[in-house]
Amino acid sequence: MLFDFQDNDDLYNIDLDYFNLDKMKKMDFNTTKDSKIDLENGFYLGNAFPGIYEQYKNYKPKKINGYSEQEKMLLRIQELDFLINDLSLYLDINPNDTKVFETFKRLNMELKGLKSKYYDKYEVLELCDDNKSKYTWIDEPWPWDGGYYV
Amino acid sequence: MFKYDKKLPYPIDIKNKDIKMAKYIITQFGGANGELSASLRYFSQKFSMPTEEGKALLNDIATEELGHQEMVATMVTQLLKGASIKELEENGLSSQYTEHGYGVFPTDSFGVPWTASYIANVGEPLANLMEDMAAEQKARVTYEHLIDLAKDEDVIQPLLFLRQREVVHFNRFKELYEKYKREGIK
Repeated sequence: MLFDFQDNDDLYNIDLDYFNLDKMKKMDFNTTKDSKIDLENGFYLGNAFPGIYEQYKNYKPKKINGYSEQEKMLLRIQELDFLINDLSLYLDINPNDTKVFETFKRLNMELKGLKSKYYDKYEVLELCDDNKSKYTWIDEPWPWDGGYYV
Repeated sequence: MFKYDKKLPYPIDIKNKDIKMAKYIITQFGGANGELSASLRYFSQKFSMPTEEGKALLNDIATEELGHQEMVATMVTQLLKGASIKELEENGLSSQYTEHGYGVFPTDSFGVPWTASYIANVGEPLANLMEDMAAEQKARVTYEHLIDLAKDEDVIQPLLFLRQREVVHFNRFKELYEKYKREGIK
């Protein structure tokens, strides 16, 4: 069951100073680059950078819990993919931020290892990894079929 | 080139049929402010970006938006799963059925097909980035309207995720715009 959520208040402890208009006016957006990263909740919030997070009304993004080991693994792969992508958008325009780049590299290494483990145990996610005894790329479910975390 | 990853950017598993919601959400696939517009807008613009930062950012956001197209189309597919022709008729989708059956087709919520006139590329980075910032804001608002209309957490959560991505993209385009302004790049 996908959205059988556990409420997690920690997810919403976001630094509200960022939304303080007086403070915002004083900030120099041309020189201030906010590189604070929330690796734990970024995926669920859809934004790894708390400094630019904007909540909508009282809607709360919720953490998702995988039930089977496969679901948990795939969810972590999605999370790592998300974080790497979000960090890359920041790095595209701040390529010299070595601190963020170190985190980016660490996440990439974890993803590489996890994807290979996932493929060995469950299913192929990338065509170039389909190296078992038979062609499994076509196997259902495809991402739009639903049913579990893909 | 592009390589396909056999998974969604964020999990979607909608268990309850909701034909009306499908009719509304399709606009984020094929409407003016939808993901197809977004990905093609940035994809087209990347070829005339003047710096390595700009080329990378436009390329990477265009790629991400392709994954969002798949998310939106997946939501529509799952919301319509098991809908009878009678139910489609009762929920204002009989013309949709006439033209496309149960197929997912890029239109807005009125059924108006996608057109390239939804996007712009004037070949100049400052004007293009300003267009991109406006586009992200409009997409964010459209997601907010959809969240207002949605009742099911299975639908609301992916919409919240997609809305927040528009917030992030807006900020990145804005940072690049300000950098170009500062450095006098045109």
